[in-house]
Amino acid sequence: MTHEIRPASHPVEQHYLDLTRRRFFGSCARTVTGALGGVALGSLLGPMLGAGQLEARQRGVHARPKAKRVIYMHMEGAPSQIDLYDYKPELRRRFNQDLPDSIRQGQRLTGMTSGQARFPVAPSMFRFSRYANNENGVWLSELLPHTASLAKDICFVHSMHTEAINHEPGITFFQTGTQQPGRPSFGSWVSYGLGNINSNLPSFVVLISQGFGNMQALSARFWGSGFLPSEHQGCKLRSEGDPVLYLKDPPGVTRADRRAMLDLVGELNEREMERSLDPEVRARIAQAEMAYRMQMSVPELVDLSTEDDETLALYGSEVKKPGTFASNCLLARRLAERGVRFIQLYMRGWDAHNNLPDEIRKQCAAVDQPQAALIKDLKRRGMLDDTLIIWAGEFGRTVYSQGTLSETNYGRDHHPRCYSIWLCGGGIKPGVSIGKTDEYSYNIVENPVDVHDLHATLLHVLGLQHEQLTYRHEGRDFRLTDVFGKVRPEMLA
Amino acid sequence: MIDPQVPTTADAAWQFLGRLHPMVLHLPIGLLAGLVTIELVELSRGRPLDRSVRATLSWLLAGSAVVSMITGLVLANEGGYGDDALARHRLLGIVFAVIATLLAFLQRRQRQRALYVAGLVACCGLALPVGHIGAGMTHGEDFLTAPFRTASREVAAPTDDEFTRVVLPVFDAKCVTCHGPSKRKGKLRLDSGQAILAGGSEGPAVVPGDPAQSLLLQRIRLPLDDDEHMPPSDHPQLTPKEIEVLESWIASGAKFGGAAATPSAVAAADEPPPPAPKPLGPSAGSIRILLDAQIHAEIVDPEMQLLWVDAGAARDLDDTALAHLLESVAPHIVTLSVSGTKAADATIAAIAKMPKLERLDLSGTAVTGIALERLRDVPSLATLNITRLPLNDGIIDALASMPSLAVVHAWRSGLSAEGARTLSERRPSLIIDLGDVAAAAPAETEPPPAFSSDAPLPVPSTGLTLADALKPSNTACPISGAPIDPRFVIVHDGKVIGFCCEKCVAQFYAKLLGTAPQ
Repeated sequence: MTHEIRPASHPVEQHYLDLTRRRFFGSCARTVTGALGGVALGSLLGPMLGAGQLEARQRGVHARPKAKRVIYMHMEGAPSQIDLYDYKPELRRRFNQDLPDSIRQGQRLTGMTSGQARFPVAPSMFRFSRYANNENGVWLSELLPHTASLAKDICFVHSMHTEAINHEPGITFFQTGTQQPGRPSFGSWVSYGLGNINSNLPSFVVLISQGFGNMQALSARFWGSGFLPSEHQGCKLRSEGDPVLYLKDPPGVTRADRRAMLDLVGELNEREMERSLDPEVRARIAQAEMAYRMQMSVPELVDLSTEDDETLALYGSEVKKPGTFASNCLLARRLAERGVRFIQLYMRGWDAHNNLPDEIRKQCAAVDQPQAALIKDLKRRGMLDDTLIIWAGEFGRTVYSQGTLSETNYGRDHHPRCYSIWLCGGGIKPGVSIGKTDEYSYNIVENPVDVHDLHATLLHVLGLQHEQLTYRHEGRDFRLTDVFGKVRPEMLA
Repeated sequence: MIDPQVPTTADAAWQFLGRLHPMVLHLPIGLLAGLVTIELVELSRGRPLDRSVRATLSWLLAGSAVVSMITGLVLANEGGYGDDALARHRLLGIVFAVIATLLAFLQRRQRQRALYVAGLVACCGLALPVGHIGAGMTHGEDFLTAPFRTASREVAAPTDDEFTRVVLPVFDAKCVTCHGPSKRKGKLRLDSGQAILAGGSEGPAVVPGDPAQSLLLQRIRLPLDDDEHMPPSDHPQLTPKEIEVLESWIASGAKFGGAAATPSAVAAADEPPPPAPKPLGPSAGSIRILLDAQIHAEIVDPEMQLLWVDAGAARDLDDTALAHLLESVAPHIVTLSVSGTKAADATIAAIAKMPKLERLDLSGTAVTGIALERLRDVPSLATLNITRLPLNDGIIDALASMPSLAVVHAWRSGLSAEGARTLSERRPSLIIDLGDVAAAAPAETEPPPAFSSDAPLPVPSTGLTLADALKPSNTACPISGAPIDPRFVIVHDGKVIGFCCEKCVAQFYAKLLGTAPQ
């Protein structure tokens, strides 16, 4: 259905309305920020304005994209790079030695270990194997055998580093490009820059799985839209009960009733828009219409009965249990197939300050087969070529043990100075390892990659130039990468 | 939250003020006429009228002239007017306002009556050119003389050139006021063949031979209430007959002045050619129709104006309707997915006519092997997805004959492992993906970890600073024997050596070169 913009009663207001459209879709199209302004308003007015939407879609990418959609698996709590990806066999001969000052270099520690009398080196107790890739192979832990078997498709970055040392600012920094809360998240920037593929589903969807270890709070602002128009915020699908609360019509209300109600409320909102000229009213209308369309699209999305047994088996035994990482990986594939632009999976529980071996075993058992299945499933459907996959935590973990150290039990504190993440799919160089850390996996010795570089590179893969994806707020142009960020060609196919 | 990129209400009010100019400017003209009339009446009667009449009118004149000037300056700020005419109009307008204000002061004093009359005459003298230039900017330079001009042109240039005789008059009548020498809205001029071809800020206005792709006609044909419709709804509209004239002119190659409208003709024009325009993309209307049908269409190559089209959400469209919709943008599609739709023979026939198609996803449709054979006509098709199609090894010929095919995703397509081998023999470089999910085994595995603490600690760095490292090892100059000067230090053969002066350094090197074996 279409809403027509009716003429405002006051000539100045009408002129203003004309200006917003003309200025965005006409003259400002000549400048880059203007083009993005056009995107903003275009997607804001969305389905109400055919021309606006057209304009938004036409002005999306800055260059030909390698990937059209994103599946971003965020490992909340920060997995240990030393026990999963950053192979340090020499450390086994330094068991319980003190971490040398020449390595630590007086770097800050969290309050959880800064009072420790010693910083005893805790080598990983897990066995590593070398998997062939497109270089000399990559050593990976026994904890992730399924993922490791895809080494030829994956780009490991061992030299990731971040500025934050605690979870909240760490995730905020990784998701929004700044440690202070309130900026738009990566997913909402992508939604804002590229818009919807399927107008029946939100362009940014978030799925959360509970973990088995120490879990930190997940704030909704990690997928918030900050100052971007609010329909770009991530839409969280719940794992229990209705995926979206209050989406179903209550008993006795038919879909026709709902339509009539939305039409009336929409009309009232239009009047409010004319009165207040507040674009957020438009966002409200757009979201109400989206919810109406989702009444049909979401039940079909979460209905796994159309999946055959072979596919379900690929994702593992937990796949039918809603909310598990396996179930969410399968949903991620279904969302990708249905044209959702940005799919974010959160896996909680990686914050292993104590009992790391026990916790990380359970965490890895929950994610390994499903995430490998997701890659394989996308690959055999021919979708991996244009899907960008990211697997990352907010920081790494220390080489020294937090608390008591034994050969089979130890804990690790937060470590922002180096950690490992991996990327895979469209536009990413497959089967390579980037960056090196020192023999303690404490400092980066080769090719450091910061969060802004990563963001710039990921946007590049999506056809967006990070310096051109801007939004004017409080008198200045904001970017996901703030004033930093370099595209890193070594990650690009 | 008010979108900060939207102009503020203050901006809008400001522009509104500027646009009052065409109305306000008529007041001083009338008032001036009134003041002249008073002078004439006084002259004929031979006695002065009540002085308050002149005082009132002259103050009104001063006020309205200043308001006209201010609104005019604001309007000029909006842009879109020819620079020369604007500069003259502005200068004369300001002078007019100044003199009009002086008049109001002068009329009070009987002694300065001569000066007042002189000012009045000056105002009248100025009003004509100011008004004429201003009107020319709004209505077109030759608005006044147009009735004579058309006739004179036909007399002066009897020509069988269709463009000059039939087409140009249409532009002259309905377009040139805003798209002409004095006002170039959207940087577009429609007053000559070259200018029309060169186009404006949105690219060329016409595509010779293709009326449907010509922006000019697209904009004219939009509904009257569309913002993009041309001419604007409050201006005289083209008649159906006139639109027909433009269409047939473009369809016949948009020729002008006897020459075909080719790029070389543009280059030969006296105006410098604009930067090479982007390839013309799909029309706005055709994309809008796709979006309305739940088919995603997005420009993924801004340089070449190529489209990614994804019909995956349009599951209810039948084959013919889908084919029809795709045909409208067929020349521009580089990536296409009809996954899960009712696409069949008709859609494949439409796809076969896509010259730039590189990636095609047919997964989960009912496309037959026979239909697939038509894809050999797609010259640049490199990646083909036929997963979950009810096919068999009979498609090997079809796949082998696709000229640019590099990757085929064939999981659950009925293509057997043996068939894949046969295909691979015929097309060795083709990557055939049968969706094998077998896990790769590790190349080697380390022995079970054994722990010890016998590794020597790493050697900490010496902590040597640059200043320390560059400290000379000697205290006396090796040439003169004098104490060394820290400004003259060299590094030679791993040693840092100090000297007393620059000369000794030179001497050291000279000796070194003289004695060093070559």
